[in-house]
Amino acid sequence: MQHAYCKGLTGPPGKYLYNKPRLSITQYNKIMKALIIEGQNEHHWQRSRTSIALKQIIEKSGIFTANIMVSPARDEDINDFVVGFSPYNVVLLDYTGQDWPEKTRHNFVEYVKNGGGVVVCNKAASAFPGWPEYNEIAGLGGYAGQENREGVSITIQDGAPIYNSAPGKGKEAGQYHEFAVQSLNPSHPILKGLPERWLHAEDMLPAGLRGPAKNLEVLAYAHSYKGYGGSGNNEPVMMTIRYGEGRVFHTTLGHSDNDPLFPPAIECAGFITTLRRGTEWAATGNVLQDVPSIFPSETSSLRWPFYEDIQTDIEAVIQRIQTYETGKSIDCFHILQLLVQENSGDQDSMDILHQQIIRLLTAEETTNDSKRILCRDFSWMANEPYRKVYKKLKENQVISAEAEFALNMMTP
Amino acid sequence: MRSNRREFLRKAGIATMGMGMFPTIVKSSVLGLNGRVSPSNKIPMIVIGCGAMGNANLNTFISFDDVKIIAVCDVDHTRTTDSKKIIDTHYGNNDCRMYGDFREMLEQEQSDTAAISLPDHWHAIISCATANKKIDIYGEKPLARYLRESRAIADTVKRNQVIWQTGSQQRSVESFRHAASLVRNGVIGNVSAVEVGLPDGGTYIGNPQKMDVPENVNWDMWLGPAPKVPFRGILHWHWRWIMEYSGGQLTDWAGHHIDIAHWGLGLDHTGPLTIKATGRPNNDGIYNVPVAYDIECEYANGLQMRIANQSRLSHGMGVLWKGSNGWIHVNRHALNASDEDILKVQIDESGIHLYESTNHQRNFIDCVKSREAPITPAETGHRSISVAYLAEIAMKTGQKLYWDPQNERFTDNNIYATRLLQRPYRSPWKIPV
Repeated sequence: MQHAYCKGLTGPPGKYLYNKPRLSITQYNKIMKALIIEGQNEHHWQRSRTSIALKQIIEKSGIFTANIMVSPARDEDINDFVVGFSPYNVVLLDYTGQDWPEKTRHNFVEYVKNGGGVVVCNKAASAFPGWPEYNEIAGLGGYAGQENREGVSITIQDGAPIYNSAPGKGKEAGQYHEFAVQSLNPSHPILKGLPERWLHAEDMLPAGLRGPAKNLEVLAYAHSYKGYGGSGNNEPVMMTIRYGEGRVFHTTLGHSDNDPLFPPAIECAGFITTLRRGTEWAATGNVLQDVPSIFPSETSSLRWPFYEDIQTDIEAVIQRIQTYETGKSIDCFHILQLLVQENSGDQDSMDILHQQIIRLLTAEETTNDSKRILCRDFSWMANEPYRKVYKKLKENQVISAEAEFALNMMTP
Repeated sequence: MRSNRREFLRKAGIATMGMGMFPTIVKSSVLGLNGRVSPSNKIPMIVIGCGAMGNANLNTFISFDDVKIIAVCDVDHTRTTDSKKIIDTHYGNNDCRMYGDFREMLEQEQSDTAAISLPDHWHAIISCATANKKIDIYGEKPLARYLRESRAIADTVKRNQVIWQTGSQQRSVESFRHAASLVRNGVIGNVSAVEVGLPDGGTYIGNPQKMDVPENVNWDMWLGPAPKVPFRGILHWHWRWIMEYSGGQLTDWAGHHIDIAHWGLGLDHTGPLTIKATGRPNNDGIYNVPVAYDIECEYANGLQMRIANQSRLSHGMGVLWKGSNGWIHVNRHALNASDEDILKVQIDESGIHLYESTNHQRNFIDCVKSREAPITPAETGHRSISVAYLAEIAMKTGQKLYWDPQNERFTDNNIYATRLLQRPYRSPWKIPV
């Protein structure tokens, strides 16, 4: 579980702790609304709850707020699962299971036709084999076990998509491994500015997807190695589909069965970045997000636990700690703990973290709720300079108990 | 006519039973029995903590003819009321007394035994207070929340010469005993590595807002020695997922599977020499215990123990001992070995015969009478959970820890790790010694 994501916080604070501006919502007038649908899926969705990861990933772009809607379970009656999509700028599908009721299907098709945005996440592509409109929206799907599935399959040869319309087998699932993702249209807004080839963290690469493939553009592909149980072809991994006025971003990346708690494929910086950009594109037709300053290279993958670049963007984490109030997301403290854990052997990095924590404890702008947690959960690592900080905090009646706790922690 | 007669008999029966039971609610020491019950008397028991485990234990003890539950205590009035109902219905009377404060209960009640099933952060204070009253204790695992508290319980139990049974009930299950016994007798040869699989812990409830405390709950008392925090709906059961009160699946299950791993290797009175651990909580949400973890310990003679959430291990949940002549794996659903003949080996007269108990609670009561040690005494429970406490410290600090299990200190004088052997209590509570 050692990751390379936050090693090397060395050097003067200015070098790594720069204040990177995040995309401001003012660029969109107001924060956009996303809907994530889950509730049934092929893999262990109950354990992995990919939908929570999807929510956190897109919300951390700063431009979306996401609702998760959980359908009835596979053995429950789904007839009352009526969903209205029109309030949302974009709908993310993490669902494969029972057919939705007629009303919901109708609402969905109307929503997309009239310009709604859709993100199809890996197995959701084959959610509804018998629903032609949906299959046009998803473009391609995987239908494991179906020998003579009709529809087009696409492979990429010499930098161009090859369409094969002969009926054939559905999807082949390979083994989990790292593989390189290659851009086919690097100037598309979703991929623009990203490296054209990068190594994706361990994932399962679907091969032989089939479907109507109308108005579909393959954005990126990966080679499916026979040695990993693959097809031996270059397979599409990211595509866009136009349906009516609607925009669809379809990614085949992001399987979670190999580590349901912290799936490498979903923590991959490349997956996170392209999902965010693809979601923005589906919602608006444009991508205004910055490209990240670090990214997986051709030969080494990069994971972002917490779905953000906590190494170079630590200032954003510090800012969240500073403004934390009970009931808000607590992940900023988890990230701080992870940084401490990962850098414990590196005195220079630890010095930077100590400076940051002391700065937070002394700053008037830091909320009392935040100081409370810093006193309780980070006093074990306090060195001598903290003592006078805690003593000063003890004078603040609202947090004097926690400051005293911290002082006691220093002298067990 | 017939029903009247039945009614009469029923009432008469209750009256007689009530009179017959009189001596059992008087502490036996009052009867001049040198502080101990005579086998012919029922053993009085108090129940502290009336949650899921509290009631599970209560229901077992109440079924024993030689036990009489006399009072219950919980900070949630609804829960004491529910438990009293179970007890009074069983005895056919209205005698069970209810308390919201264990101090009052220990002051008022004359009991010989206690069943304690509380959130972990309350274990040490109440267990030590109870042991200091010379009351024998059936105490739920894990022994406590922090290593120093856990040590305090083991020492207090010893000092007071009370009987303590740790609720690591797998020791009283035949498949676990059989597996441990085979390993202990060298049937799989020299064991150089053991893997312990504990549950994945992926519970998530987001970040609840502050809310009103339910009227039936004394929130300040529920928090006890833990920091004062606003109520956010965290109460029964939820405490398992918050570090101030518990360590999640790791500390819940260490008392089961690490306990069994130790048993098979004769490590009940020692611990690891080095500990390295990584672990992560959910990315977000009020629950902050590790949900994925991977721990490597080295014991004397180079024995390696790996403890991880089940998804990380090929054998999943349970204990896998790897010996020079094969392996044995045991969990609650299965007992397997590299060769099925291994499981057929009979231990002869001259072999090591592990303590035998087929009912954990019964074993406790039997020992209360015999004054013999039960199958999982406090020291054993302390050693089983110590591995998890040390792992938590290794996770938090990110450091490899060097531990002296005999003196229970870090051999490299790691001051940060030493601080984490105990957390300061909120006033007025005092850490027991």
